[in-house]
Amino acid sequence: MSHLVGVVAVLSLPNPRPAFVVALAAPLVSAAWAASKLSGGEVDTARLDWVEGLDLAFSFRVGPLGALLAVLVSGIGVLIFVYGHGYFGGGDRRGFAATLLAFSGSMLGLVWADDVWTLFLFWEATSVTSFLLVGTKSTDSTAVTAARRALLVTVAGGLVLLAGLLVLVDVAGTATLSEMGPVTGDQATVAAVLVLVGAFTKSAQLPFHVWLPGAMAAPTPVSAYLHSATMVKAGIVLIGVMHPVLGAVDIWSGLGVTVGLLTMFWGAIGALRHADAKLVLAWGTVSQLGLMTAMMSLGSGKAIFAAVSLVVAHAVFKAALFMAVGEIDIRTGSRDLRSLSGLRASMPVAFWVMVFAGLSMAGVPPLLGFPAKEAAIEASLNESGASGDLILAGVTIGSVLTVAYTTRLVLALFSDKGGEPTEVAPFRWAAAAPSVLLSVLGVVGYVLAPSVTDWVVPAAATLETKSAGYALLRWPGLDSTAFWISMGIVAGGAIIGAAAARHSSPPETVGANNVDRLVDRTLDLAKWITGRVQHGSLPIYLVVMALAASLAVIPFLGSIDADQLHAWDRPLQAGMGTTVVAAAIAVAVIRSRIGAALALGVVGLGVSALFLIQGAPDLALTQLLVETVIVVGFVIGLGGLTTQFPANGFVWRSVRIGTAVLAGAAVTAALLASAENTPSNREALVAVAVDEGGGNNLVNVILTDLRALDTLGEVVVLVVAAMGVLALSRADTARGGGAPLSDDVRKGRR
Amino acid sequence: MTALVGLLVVVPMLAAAVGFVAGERQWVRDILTVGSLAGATAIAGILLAHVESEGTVVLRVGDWDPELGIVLVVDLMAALVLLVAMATILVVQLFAIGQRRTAWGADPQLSGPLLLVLTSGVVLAFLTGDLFTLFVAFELILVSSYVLLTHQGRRGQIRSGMTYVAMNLFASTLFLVGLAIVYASTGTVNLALLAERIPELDDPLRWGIGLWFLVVFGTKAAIFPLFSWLPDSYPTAPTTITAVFAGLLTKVGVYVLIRFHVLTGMDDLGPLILTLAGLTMVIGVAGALAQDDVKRILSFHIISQIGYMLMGLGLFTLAGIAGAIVFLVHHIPVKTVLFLVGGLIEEREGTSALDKIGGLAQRQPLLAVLFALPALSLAGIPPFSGFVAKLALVDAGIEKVVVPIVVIALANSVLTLVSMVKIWTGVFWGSGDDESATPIRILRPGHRLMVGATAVALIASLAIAASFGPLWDLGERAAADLLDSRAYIEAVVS
Repeated sequence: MSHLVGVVAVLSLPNPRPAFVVALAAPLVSAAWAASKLSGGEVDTARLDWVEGLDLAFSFRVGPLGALLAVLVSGIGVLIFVYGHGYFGGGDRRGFAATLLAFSGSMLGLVWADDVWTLFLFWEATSVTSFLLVGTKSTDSTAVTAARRALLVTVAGGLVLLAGLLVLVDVAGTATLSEMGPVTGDQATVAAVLVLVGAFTKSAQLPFHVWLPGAMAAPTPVSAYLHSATMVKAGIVLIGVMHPVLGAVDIWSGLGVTVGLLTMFWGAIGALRHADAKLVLAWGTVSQLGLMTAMMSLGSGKAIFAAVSLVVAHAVFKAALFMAVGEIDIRTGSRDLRSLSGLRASMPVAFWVMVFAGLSMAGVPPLLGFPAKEAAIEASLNESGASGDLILAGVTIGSVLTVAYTTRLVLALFSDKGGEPTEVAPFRWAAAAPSVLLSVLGVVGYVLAPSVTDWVVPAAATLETKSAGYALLRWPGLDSTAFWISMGIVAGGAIIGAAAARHSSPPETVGANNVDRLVDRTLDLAKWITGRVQHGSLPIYLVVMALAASLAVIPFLGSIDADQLHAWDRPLQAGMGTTVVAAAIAVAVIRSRIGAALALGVVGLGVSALFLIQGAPDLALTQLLVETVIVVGFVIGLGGLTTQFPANGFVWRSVRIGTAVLAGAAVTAALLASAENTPSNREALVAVAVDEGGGNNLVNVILTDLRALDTLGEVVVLVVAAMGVLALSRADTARGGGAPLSDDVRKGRR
Repeated sequence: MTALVGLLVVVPMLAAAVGFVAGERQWVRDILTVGSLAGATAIAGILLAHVESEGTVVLRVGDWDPELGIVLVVDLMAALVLLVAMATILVVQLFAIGQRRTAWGADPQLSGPLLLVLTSGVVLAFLTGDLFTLFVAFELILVSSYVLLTHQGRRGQIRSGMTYVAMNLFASTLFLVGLAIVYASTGTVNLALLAERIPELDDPLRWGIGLWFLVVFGTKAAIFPLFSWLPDSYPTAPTTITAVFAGLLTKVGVYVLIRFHVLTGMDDLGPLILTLAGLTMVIGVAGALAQDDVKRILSFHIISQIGYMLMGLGLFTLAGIAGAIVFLVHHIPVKTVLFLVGGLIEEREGTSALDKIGGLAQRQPLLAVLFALPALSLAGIPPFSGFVAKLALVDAGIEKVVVPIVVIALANSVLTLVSMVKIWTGVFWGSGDDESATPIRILRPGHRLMVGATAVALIASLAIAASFGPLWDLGERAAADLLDSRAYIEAVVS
């Protein structure tokens, strides 16, 4: 709530200068509030019903996990706003700060949600704000494409999640997370897969990871905040939150762990390949997210505990690393590992931040990353059987590569490349202080590991009760297998990393363009379809309509009663009928426009004669008048057109004839089918017409009394039509003569 | 109450008549149009409140027996849609007054009164309990909209107007034939009596009638494959006209489709309607993706969204019909806002082609917000009304286990978003085409009224999202009334 107030406050600031300062008030408040909840075990809930009929509600529940994540989201948020102030230096950033704040609020809503729909709402809100933030440099086409890619992947994943949640709510019988019990069965499996895919898209797991490196087109405060420390964790949090409900489904941990470990490996490879420091970090994030996904979906007590610890440690060190790289970026104008030189001397603060945060990322004591990584290795050791060995192998290889790319990044970034050292702009406190604080926190977190444990354990225990017994160990002891594996990882990784630092291959993006290509293909396909369907030819549209109507008639064929049919009541009808049909055919065959108009008149006359024979002189008279007017109108109107209809090709002519015949047959069939059952209300009409309507002419009474409203309506129709004709003829003359317009009309008629 | 129902139909017509002869006295027309539309909105509000608590209101025109005369019926569905429709037209008219006498504005002497004729047609279509009067209502709507579309006499308008009027007149002809079929087989055109008699007919005859009117109303509603008149004609019209068309016209078609087919129990057509719904969604959104012009993209979206309402109908369940009704209610203001924003863009930039505009988010942040919120709503992103409406429909689909349409409906949301992103990146981001050097327009005082009207419509749409709880309840009740036709029959006949 305080965030919403903050957004409004920032947007309504008269002076753009203090935008970031005002903005940081909101996360400061929520961070302080959440911190106060860390130790107290009390659970806060709030609920606001939205659409009761659909079971939609805004429902929040802040337990230990919610408090812990909120401290991360808001705490880092505060630092990001400070950093943003330094990063941008000046200019009007009110819109940016407000969007960032809106994101921050959405993220809090997401981690506090106690209702799947509330969760989904904020899930989508983070996608949309992320889109806006990635596209901050909206004149840069790379940024715009990256923003679009990120939005499409995450929103498409969001809709998969939506489908999963709908199925889940159906199985679980409630939309409230805290009321859901474990579910199993086919439907639960469907829900599990859909929910996991949703989580994978948000947390950049294979094969959906492609959007994350591209999102680095955003300003660094955004990358540090959204695309490493907070938003991308949403998928991990989702997997965690769903663990008590869907964890028992067979496919859950298998799918999650497989995808997670593959992502960890592939992300680390990506981080080793790139020469742009920010991209290295982005691929590193992909890799780390893979480890967290694997741990969270593995689902044992130790694994969940490890996952939550990793979330905390990663948020702290990755934000610091991004901030440091961003600082280098704004002070040197480059992030290229191959060209930056002499930074160790010129930017000592950034150097030490990178070293400490990097060591934490590599999992080296005395930093917070170490015990978290230890927990992950131990969790893998606890798994038995072949799958356990595979998981351990996966985590180990991934971790070796993690150490390798970290080593490579730090070494390459700060090495002296020979030649002139890179020029460096003046130091800015606001841009450096937050990263210093975060890297120091890495050490403090290690020293105070028992306190951190006190926060992490209750949080993990809300997801999996078995997590309660574990702790973050500063020193696991020399007899711990995990410790030796860990040391092996560091040693192996350091060697690979040092070697890789000397050989920087040219950067290339792999897979990132697939989404764009998919979008382009879709657009092409859409153009193709539209070209086929909306071709602009009126005659073809009408043919389609006539065919649709003819198809609609098919059922009627079944209810025509052949016995009831007879050719005519009176022979005269046959004669008139033949005349009408012949004239109608003539209308279609005659090439001369005036001849066709006259033939049409004959059709009308024939019909009015039929009315007369049927005993409806009034109707016949009206029809006669109408037909006369129409023929006269045609004769006047045809003046501006050529005397002949344009010729048509054989095929098109056949199509038109066929359609016309079919439509005629269809209408005939429909009328034949419906004619037999006629419980007419004519008797009642006649009685009423004379007694109440006061007229012997039934048609007149209907028109002027029984259905006077219809008559009124049709009169208005005529008036409006007249106005339209008037307006058009005026517009025609006002635009300097009718010639071009008539041309147009002629084309339209064709 | 019945007097109010009568007023609702007649007042716009009378005001239009006076407006036609008011000549140069523009203020007379303004007072008349705004006054009668505001009055209509108020009456619609009163009717909704009344119907909600007291039940259906029936007006027998001329006090004739329903067997013989015409009845106007205000049930819950009618009242609900009526209120939204009247309020929307009112807002658009305010926008039109602001936009008067620009290249994109319509001729004020004609457009005001014509809009009122259109309004009376829309009212009649919503309220009538008589199939023939529905035909008259369609005629009123068709002729007034055709004149609105073409009265400026521009080339493109005349050309696309031809498609518009030819296809719709063809549909009218089919409607007349349909009336003959219905009257011949049941002896009545009164909807309540039809609701009684059509279900008793033989299956083939019943299906035939259902299919025939599916074609007729489907053309009006612009469903696949009968929508071709829409995307050609809408973008060429002046903004205000398009905004009303977009918000209302096709929705009248959907409304009567729902009303007729549910009341007469056409459940058997469900699978066919669902198939058409899926195709309408996909083809519509494909069209939107293929366009490079704000108004054209938005026009194709209408079709795609019609598919969702059709989906609700095709399910023929309480949740489905209710979903279709609330979708209808959500859709009208959202679509109107988007077209009005399109008009504002055109007004400022002199074009609505994507490649000629750019960077509006920086220069016009308010416009960006006015576009972004309804666009997200249309794409079904929470917490906007489109999300809830779509969720209701998808939920109804899952409940009936119709997987294909659910998948299509969800996938379609992504595609909708792609096309919205296309507008966003084209219009609001980027730097624009400097070479075309659009002149900086001097904004007239009317501009404020235009933006204000758009904002009001947006706020109305947000209010719909906020009060979706009660709306959903109303939608469910309205759907229940339709599905159980006895209530309707009893209200009209007894």
